[in-house]
Amino acid sequence: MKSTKMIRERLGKANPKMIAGILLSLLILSLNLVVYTVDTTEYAVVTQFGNPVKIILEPGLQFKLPDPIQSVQRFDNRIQVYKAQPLELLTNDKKSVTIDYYGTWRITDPVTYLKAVKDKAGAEARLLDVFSSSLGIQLGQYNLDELINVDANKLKLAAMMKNTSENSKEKAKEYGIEVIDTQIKVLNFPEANKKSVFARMKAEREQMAKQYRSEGSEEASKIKADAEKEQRILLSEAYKQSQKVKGEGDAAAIKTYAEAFQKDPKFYEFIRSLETYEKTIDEKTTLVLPSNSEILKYLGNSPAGN
Amino acid sequence: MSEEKQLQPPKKNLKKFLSLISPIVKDKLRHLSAIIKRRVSEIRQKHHGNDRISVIEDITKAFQHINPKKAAQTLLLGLLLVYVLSGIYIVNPGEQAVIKRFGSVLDKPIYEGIHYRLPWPVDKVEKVNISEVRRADVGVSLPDHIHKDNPPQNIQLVTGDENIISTEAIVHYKIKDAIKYLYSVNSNDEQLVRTSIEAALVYLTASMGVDDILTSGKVDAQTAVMKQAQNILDSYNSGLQVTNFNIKAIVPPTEVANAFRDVTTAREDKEKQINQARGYYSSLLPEARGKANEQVTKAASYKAEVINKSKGDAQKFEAMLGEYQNTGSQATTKYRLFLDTMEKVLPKAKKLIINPSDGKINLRLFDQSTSQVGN
Repeated sequence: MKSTKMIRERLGKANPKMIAGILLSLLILSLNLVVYTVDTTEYAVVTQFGNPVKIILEPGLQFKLPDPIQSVQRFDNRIQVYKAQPLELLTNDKKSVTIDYYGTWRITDPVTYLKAVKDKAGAEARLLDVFSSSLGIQLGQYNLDELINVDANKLKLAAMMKNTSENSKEKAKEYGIEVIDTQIKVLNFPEANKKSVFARMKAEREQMAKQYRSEGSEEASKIKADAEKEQRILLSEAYKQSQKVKGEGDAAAIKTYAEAFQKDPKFYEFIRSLETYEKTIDEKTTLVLPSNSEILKYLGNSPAGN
Repeated sequence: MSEEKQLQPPKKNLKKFLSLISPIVKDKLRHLSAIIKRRVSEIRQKHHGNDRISVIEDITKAFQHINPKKAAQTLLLGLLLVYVLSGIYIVNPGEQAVIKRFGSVLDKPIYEGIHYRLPWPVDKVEKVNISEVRRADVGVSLPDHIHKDNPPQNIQLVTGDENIISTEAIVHYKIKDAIKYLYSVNSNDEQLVRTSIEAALVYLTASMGVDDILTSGKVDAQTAVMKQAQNILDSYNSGLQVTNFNIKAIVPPTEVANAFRDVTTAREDKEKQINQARGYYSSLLPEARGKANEQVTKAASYKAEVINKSKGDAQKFEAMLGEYQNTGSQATTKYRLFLDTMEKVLPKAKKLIINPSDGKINLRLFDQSTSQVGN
């Protein structure tokens, strides 16, 4: 009891300054209701009893009437990435493809955005329609071989995607949204078609493997045949050469013999015959000698009788 | 000690021992609760009668010597100092700081060191590491990579010649512009880089045949993909820079992997066959060359031999002829030579001597004799 009195007295003493301080802090607190900042990543819309009255597109410090009267709604002005579920679509030549894509977008007109889609979930629901219908329409105008082709001149995939982006841009305008671009992440055949695609791929590969193998044996037999050809040429050349050389030798020999033996052909005949006998007659030879032959002329005849 | 000895009785005595000791323990416990009760009542009595005011009086007494006004001022000043000093911040090496004043970015890059900004709520600071090289995996979830977002899915793409391939790649990137990075795109940077690479890969595979992609085109493809992905990232003002892009693997889907592998094997088989043929070629020809050389050399030696032999024979003959012409009785010499030869020759051969009374030779006899020789 005693001390509460004391506190009261002290409060009474500090009165003017205290009150000023309290008022100041109250002011600072109420500033929060009137002053607000807009971040660089956002747009702000000031609504007065729910009615948009002011749009702030630049960041900075801003003022408004206190809260129950005017309130601030903030919208992200950064680029958002919207990833959709993959779509199965038909090309112009009625071929089915699966497309996984994403689209990027940002809010450009926050008031329209606020009225048309309210929030991000609403925006994404609309964007799904925008993207998928644009993509479906565009894809239906191109043949599959214009979307995928090894010939760069025939490939129109980039053009198709550009058109899709333009188309989406046009459609998204009414929601206060700017579409930056749409990009394909995956271009594939649908699961149901893959089996036949794989079968075709397999067949192509098998054919290729066969071709490689037969090319291999073709090349190999060509090389072998070449080798044999060159071998024969080499050997026959050598035969030719050796015959020529041998012939030269023989010719020279004939000449030498002829020159020598011309001097007395009869004596040569005799000597040569003797040599021949010496060389040809051996153990296997059977000589049938008539008893009147030259060598046996003395056998059975006395020399005196001669 | 003696008690301990008593405490080690055989187990039979344990029950007995417990029954003996339990009344003592119970008694002691009862005693303990009585002590606690007594202590509590003592404390109660001590505090009984003391007023709450008296505690406050004690505290005020303790602080009586302090002037409350001065204390309040010092406290305020201190708080102010702390508030002002809260504007100090440190930027680590490799980082860039961005200051936002009431939400709008101050366009002045701030790098490592100690810096000052106006305290909250005027200035806000955000720091970004601009030198770190970050990594994103594409088409494969690398086990050593911590994903901030959903891990990447396998990618199957259609090639220009209507084949399907799977792609795995790794991309390195860094932040080249902190302000753009922070405030342009509301997306995880890794995801953004991944999707832009994926988009670029679609264009690439759509324009190439499967064999080109699987073999030679890979390296060229890497730079093309990197460039295109960078274009996409730049179109978002993302402030991200792709520094390196590596295709880790481009493989056919598992369903057809064997067929593709067989093509590779076939290609190797082809090489093998050709190499074997080349081996045959290179072994056959040296051998042939060797044979050819031998033949030619033999021919040359034959030539030399024949010539020398002819010369030798000729010389021998000429020498004999010289002597023959010099001798008086040429016929006798001739006959001697004949007999000399016969002496050499005839001992070797089988000889049949017949008497050609009718001038004819009985051939049957000749046959029999030779067959006998053969036997």
